[in-house]
Order: sequence, then C-alpha cells, then structure tokens
Amino acid sequence: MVQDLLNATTLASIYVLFALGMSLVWGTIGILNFAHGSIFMFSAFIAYLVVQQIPLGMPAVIAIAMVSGALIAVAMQYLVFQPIMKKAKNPHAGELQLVIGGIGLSAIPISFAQRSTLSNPFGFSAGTFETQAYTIGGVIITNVMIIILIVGLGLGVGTALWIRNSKKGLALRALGVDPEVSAMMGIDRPKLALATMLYSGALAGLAGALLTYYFNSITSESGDTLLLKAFAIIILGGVGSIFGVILGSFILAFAEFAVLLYTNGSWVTAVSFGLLFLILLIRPQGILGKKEVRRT
Amino acid sequence: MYRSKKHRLGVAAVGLSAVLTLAACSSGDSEDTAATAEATEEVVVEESATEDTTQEEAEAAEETCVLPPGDIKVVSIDSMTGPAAFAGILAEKGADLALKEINASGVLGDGVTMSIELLDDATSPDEAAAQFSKAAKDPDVPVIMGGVISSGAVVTSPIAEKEKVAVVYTQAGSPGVVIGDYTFRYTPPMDSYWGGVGSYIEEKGIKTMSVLYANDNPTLIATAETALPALAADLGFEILSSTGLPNSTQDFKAPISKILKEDPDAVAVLMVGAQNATVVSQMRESGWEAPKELLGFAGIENNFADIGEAAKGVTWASIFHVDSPAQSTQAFVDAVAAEYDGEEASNYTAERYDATYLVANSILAACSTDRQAVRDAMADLTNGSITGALGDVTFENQDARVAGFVVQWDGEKMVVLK
Repeated sequence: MVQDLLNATTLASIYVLFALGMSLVWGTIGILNFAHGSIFMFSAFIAYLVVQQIPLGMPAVIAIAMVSGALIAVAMQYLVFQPIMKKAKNPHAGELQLVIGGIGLSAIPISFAQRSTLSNPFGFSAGTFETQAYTIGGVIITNVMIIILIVGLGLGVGTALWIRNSKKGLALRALGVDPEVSAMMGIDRPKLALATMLYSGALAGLAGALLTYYFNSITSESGDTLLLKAFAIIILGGVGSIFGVILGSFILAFAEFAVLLYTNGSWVTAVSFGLLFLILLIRPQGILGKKEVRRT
Repeated sequence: MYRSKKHRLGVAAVGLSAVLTLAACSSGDSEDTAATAEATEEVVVEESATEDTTQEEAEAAEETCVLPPGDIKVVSIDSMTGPAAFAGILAEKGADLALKEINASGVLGDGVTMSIELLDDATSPDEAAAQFSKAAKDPDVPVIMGGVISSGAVVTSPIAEKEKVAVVYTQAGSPGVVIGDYTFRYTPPMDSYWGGVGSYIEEKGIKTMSVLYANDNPTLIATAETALPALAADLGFEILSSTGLPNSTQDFKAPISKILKEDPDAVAVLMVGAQNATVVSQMRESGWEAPKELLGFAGIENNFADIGEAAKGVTWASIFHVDSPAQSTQAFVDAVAAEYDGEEASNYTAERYDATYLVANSILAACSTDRQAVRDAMADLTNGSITGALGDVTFENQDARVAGFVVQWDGEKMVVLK
C-alpha cells in the first residue's frame, strides 16, 4: 500500500513538472502553448545528442535541457507568438491563432527527432548517472524518484507561492485578468511574456530531462502524450491556479493508478477523462479556478 | 497495360548459388539469359510452385517473356514519419536494395526497369487509406507494397480487394489484413511463430504468467488475447492477468505493482516502442530478477539499446537473426552491410527486401503489368516455398510462415537461443 502511494505520488510529481510551465503561460499571458510537449521532448533530445558525444552527469544534462528549453520557448515567443498577437484582429482571434501556431510549431522538432532517431526511443544511457534503488522498510524508492518528488513538489509549491506573494507574480496575475488595463498600469507585457516563456521553457526542459531519467528513455512523441494529460490537469485544477495544477496532477495520477491497480487497464483513459467531464459539469471553472476571473 | 506476346510461366529453381532466380525474361530469344543474372541474393521458388503446370502452360513456359521497354512503377506506402517510422524507414532500405539489384541485373529485359514511388502514411490509418486509394486508382500501378501498421492495413485491404490490385504487406501482423485474393503478407503474424518460445517456457518450468499489452495495437491485442491463451492451454500454464494499456501510458508502476502481488513465474511484455524499455527497467527496479522471466516479441530489441543491462535475459521469438545459418540470409546481411556502410540488417529490411523480389518475380512470371495477371502469378509463387533474406518462407493463404528463432537480449544485443 505504501509502495503504491509512493508510486502514485511520483506520477503526480511528474505531471506537476510537465503541466506547471504550460499552466503558467496559459493562465498569465494567455498562450495555450500546444508546442509545450515538443519543447519538453526536444530539450531532452538535445541533451541526448550531447551525452552521446560527451558522457555527462545528471546536473550537466539537466542544465543543457533547461537552457535548451528556455531558448526554444523564447524563440517561439519572439518569432511566432508575439507577431501573431500583434497582427490579430482581436484577443479572441489571436488566442485561436496561437493554438494553431503552437500545433504547427510542435510538428517541426518532432519530425526532426523522429528522422534522427528513426522513431526509436532515446535516453541518457551514455552519460555517467546511474539509477540506484533503495529498500526502506520494504518500500523501494530510486534516486530518480527522490529527485522528481523534491523538484516537482518543491517547484510547484514554490511557483504558486511566488505568483501569490511577489510583486512580479501580482503583475503576471494582473496580465491574466486584463492585459489592456495592466498595460495602462505600467506593466511591460512583452517583457513579462518573454520572461514567462523563458521560465516555462526551462521547466519543460527540466521535466524532459528528469522524465527521461525516470522512464529510462522517451520517444519523439512522448511530449504529445503528456500534453493531453496536462491540458486535462489544468482544466481540472482551474486555469490560472498553480495550486490547481498540483491538485489536478494528484487527482489524475491517483485516479489512473487506482484504475490500473484494480482493473485490467482498459478503463484508465475513460475513468481519468470521465473525471474531467464531471468537474466541468459541476464546476466549469475547475476546482480552484475563480468564476469571476477569466485568467489569474 | 502491356502484355508480351511470348511469355514464360515457369519460374526456375536454382541452388544456393547467389544467383537471382527471377523468371527468365529478356528481349532476346535465349530462354535462360536473365535467369542467371548475377546478384547478391537469391530468391528461390521451388518446383512445387509449378508442379501442377498444365501441358499448355509447360509449352508456354518454353517461350521467352519480353516486356516492352520502359519503367514499371510500383507504389510503396510506408510509415516514413510518425511512431512507426522506425519500421517504415528500415523496410524501405530493403526495398531500395532489392530494386537496385534487380535493375542492375537487367533481368527485367532490355530497357525495362522497375521503380518504386514511395508514399508516406505518417503512421496514420486515415493517411494510409487516402494514399492507397490514390495508388489503386492509378491504372499504371500493377501492384502495391507496404503499410507496416496494422491499423492502416485493415483499412487498405478492402480497398485492394475492391479495386482488384494486389498488395504485399510487411509487418501489419494483425487479423483482418490478409482477407482475400488480392492481399498478401510477407511477415508471418506474430501468433504463428510466437509459439516458438513454447519449448523455452517448458524448459524453464513456467507455470504462471502475467501479460502486459498495448490495447490499441491490433497485432499485440491478437497476441495477448488469442495466441498466448492458446499457448497456455497447449502447454498447461496459467495466465494470471492480462492488462491492456493505452499508448499514452508512460509510467507502469501501477500494473507492475499488481503483477508483483500476483507473483507469476513470467511476465509477457507486449508494449509499443519506448514503453517496452520503461516496463522492463521498472520491473528490474522493482526487484524482478532471474529466475523470474520476462518475455517480449519481435522488434522489441530496438527499444533496449538505452537500457542495456536492465533488459538482459528478456526472451522472445523472432523471424530474423543476422546469425541465421541460412546462406541466403547471410548473403543478404552482407549486401546490407555493403550498401549501408556496415549497417546490421534488421527484420524490417529483410521482409521488404524479399517482398520486393516477390513483386518483381510476379511481374516476370506474369510477363505483364496487368493487375490480374500479376496477382495470379503472385498467388502461384506463394503456393510454394521461397528462400530469401528470411530463409525459407512458406505461405498459408497468401500469408507468410517461417520457423523463426528463440532469441534473448544479452545486455548488448540479441543472441539466438534456438
């Protein structure tokens, strides 16, 4: 039982790591970034290419993935998302174009990685890090699980508190509520948007590296698989709420875990996403979302 | 469509002399000019293929096939992008190599070449159907190859039957692919050779087994839900649970936890791509070690490079191995290494290589690019045994069968056990 709870918590932390950056960008600067999954994958892929040449340890691999993710996200913001928003007739049309732009963008790194790897899995086995398993009171935990639990939950709670309590966090929340009014109040939206994308990209890179270590290998399509779950988590928790992301991640992870543990597996998607529909019917703004606020 | 005035139906059988044994076809009068065209690989159709040849056919066989000069366009629909690209790209290497040998040999006749128009289905059944329909509507296409994904093949096979154009699949191992006169498959369905691990199961004294399988992959569903229960009934072991998981599953700790509680003697892992590596490594992290067994399936070795030692001991049945003692396989392995900078041949490349020769042989045997004639010739050829990159291949209702190997991952590569 304790083992199952630990495993489910680790899965929830994985979801937090992935969904955090996506939620932050959507809830503050209004970009539903469907390329988040490809940033996640491609950051890990770049780190993989480097590790193939130079055997590196985990900190260096994570650093490469985070820097790669941050640079890719900033480039996307600067070259694609920002111009789309500038040219959009109205914010609503702009948001739709951003979604389409994100989907189109995501295909490029995925195709590149597919071609390069022949769609085979890739990982960091050429590096120097080795997964170690420890047994404590009959419960097995690996060093990667410990790192994911600490980093995932730490970053989730830390980001939520920062958004809630800091001045910059307040500015971001203001952007989420009303970009025009917040601009009149002196908030530099382009600069904050760029910084938010940078942070989100770095988080995607961090998630990419850690999940590759945890799963031992990922494929070019792994990001897209997680993207749908992240989308569900954000809706479940409430768009704009970082604590909502944590809560949504735990609900989805524990629901999936329970279904897989007690059924033959066929119901896992139906039950998990059935929960999403249920929440949408009962509380359309999500569990921790605020009804009167569009995005906070 | 063109058809020669003179044709030869007999397909020569030659020994293992690395000689291309395409049906004799040349622009001259000599009957055996092209039959001895040198190549690095031989595809042998045994005499049994033509043992029922009638007197008229025997007389006709004395005539020499002359195909009009020009290019014979064959369409190949493959997954060059998307999750199944690992199979599609390697398959196309086999087709390219065979095509190069066939055209270089001149066996098709003076000024006659064969070319392959490659269409990418992007690992999408919808795209496969669209591409297939387009190819099937083109009257200049005598035969279609490919489609490695079962979900695409079950959609394209009815189109082939309706349009009366022969299609030769490789991979696409699920039921519902070979459905009629016009559908052929050069990859044996997994349930036809997975039983090869039966003796291994008996040797290891496996009495109980749990199964993890991808419940959105028709081939793996058939293996998990049909082949394994049949094997269990045959050998007398018990399947404790069979857990189907969608391809979105990335963390397997929950089903592994369930399996550990069941405490089986063996676990069959029938997942897709990176999922296999993750399941195996998470099983190992959870303490699953010998003498507990892990069983896999053909192609799983592609997923083990990154987990190496963790996959040591995983055992499965395979239709191809580079160390096969078959001379024809060794000739093929050498040809692949020479053509692709020392690359090791794969089952995907071998299957398509042989399938491409089957297509060329069928056109020659028909001495025509008429769809029906090519289909009929292909049906005749697959009545017998064909020796090629896969070794000796027989067919049941146009569906390939091979003996296969029992192989195991030794930490770095797969090795033959039986």
